[in-house]
Amino acid sequence: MTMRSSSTYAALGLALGLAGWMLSNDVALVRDNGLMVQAAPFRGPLLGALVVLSFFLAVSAVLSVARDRDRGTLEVLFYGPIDEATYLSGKLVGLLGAYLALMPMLLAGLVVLGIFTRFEIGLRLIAALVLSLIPAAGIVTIGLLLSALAKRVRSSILFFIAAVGLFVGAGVTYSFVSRIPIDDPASPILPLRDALGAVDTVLSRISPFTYLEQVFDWANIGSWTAVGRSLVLSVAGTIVAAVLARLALRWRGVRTREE
Amino acid sequence: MIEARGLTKRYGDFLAVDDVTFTVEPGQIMGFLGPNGAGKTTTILMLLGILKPDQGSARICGEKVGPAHKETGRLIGAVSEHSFLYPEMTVLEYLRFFARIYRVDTPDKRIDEVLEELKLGKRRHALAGSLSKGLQQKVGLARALLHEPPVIILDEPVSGLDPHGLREVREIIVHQRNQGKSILLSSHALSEIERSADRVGIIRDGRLLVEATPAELQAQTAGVLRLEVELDRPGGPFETTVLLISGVAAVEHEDSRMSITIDGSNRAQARQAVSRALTAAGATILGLREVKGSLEDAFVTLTQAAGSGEGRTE
Repeated sequence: MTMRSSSTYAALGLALGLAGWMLSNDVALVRDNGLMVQAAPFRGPLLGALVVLSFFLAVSAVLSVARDRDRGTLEVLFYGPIDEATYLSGKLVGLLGAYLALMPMLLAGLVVLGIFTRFEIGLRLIAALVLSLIPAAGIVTIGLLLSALAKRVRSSILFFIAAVGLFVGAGVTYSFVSRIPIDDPASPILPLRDALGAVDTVLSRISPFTYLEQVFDWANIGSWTAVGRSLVLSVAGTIVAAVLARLALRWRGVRTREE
Repeated sequence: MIEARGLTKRYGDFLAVDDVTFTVEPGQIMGFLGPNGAGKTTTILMLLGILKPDQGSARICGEKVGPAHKETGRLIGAVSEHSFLYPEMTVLEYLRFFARIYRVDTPDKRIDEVLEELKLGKRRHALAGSLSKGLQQKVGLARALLHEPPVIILDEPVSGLDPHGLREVREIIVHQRNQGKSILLSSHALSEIERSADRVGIIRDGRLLVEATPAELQAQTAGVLRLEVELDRPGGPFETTVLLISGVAAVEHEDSRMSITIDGSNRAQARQAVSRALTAAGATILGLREVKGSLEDAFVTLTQAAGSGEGRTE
């Protein structure tokens, strides 16, 4: 993900398209019902746009280390005064820089949407947009960890699909199992539901997307202490993922080949 | 200065490098030779700090090499067999990127100097991915020389170069040596090593068999005679006939040309025996000449004598 890459702008376009589609649905609702009660109509569209951008950021991070290793450029960097920490920090800063550069463009696009729909974004959501940089750092770092673990680009993609499958699958399965009506208290579904609930809780604590959502929710209602708590937890998770990524890179090495 | 002291590396049971020790002094080029899989690249990777030795140590200009000593990276300019460029970057962008990493003073001035030295000035705005393999190798060399390191490590730097490029790179390497740099040059192009190296190390099965000057190595093969024979027909059918002659160590043939290596004290007799055997077998000898022992002969003799170490273990 660089500002010279056309895929970056494609992701921005997709994010704005999603936000526009969500807003147009709200406008249609007002038109059909004549009424819509919503304190912050931009909360959903902005969060949706940021999830799209963050997902793209995660994919970029997942590909980055494995691609460098695959084409040998990682090895060449390590000929010089670069070590695992310097390299991973560089990747993190580069990807967050691109995310930061996209923010004003995203905001400008949303302002245009606001003009058409006559919805206001509000300062709280703009603050949440800026603060989303911190959970985004967590998303990038987890992507770098997966990429450092993978020997080649293909395996890094498989790791990413497995991770997304795990996070999304756990939530969906828990939600599905929770909806099954249970009459018998001895039903085996009950312990299964509890186990799935525990897994879902743990995964949602780990997922940086959870903190991204929390930051928006708390900022939206002006609960800045809660915003701060989410950000601190997000930073702690980022540090743990960064340490693991460094260890993974040292363990996996900079070469795909062995002599 | 490059110092390798007892470098040893194992991959499981496989002993890739076994107790390799050598020194490359400032103002010296050491040619590093060995058959494929001999342990050259593994040794080089340990010198670069990419691989951690299981035993032994490496020092660059007196500084210990290792993951915790990455600052030695500033003292080394390294090129590997593949140039490993960023295909989406131009040559200029690529060199600027590395100039920042190595904290080069006045980077643009230095980049101009290096591009001029390597005759790459016209390619500065070309995308690295669009260059031929030879030009990509030269860009890799430009990157290695950018920060004017006191130590240069080159692993097959001339692969993919045409004869002009080969000569240019050789001149640059010799020029760097004359400036007092320590240079380790690994190459399959033995003629390049012969022309530029002050010392030669030959590695086989992970062990450094010999370290000497090219002249000393050639002297070691003084007892070896190579005959170049031109026949009136393909030499293949006569290979066994020649190999059965006492004193013949090896036979190679390409169409009607045969290259016969004779090892032993009675070379004149062996030469006559070869001539007689070929004639008796029905071949007409159009030409026969003795070839002076070269570094290639020394390399072949030494590495053949050491035998094959396929699947070598401790």
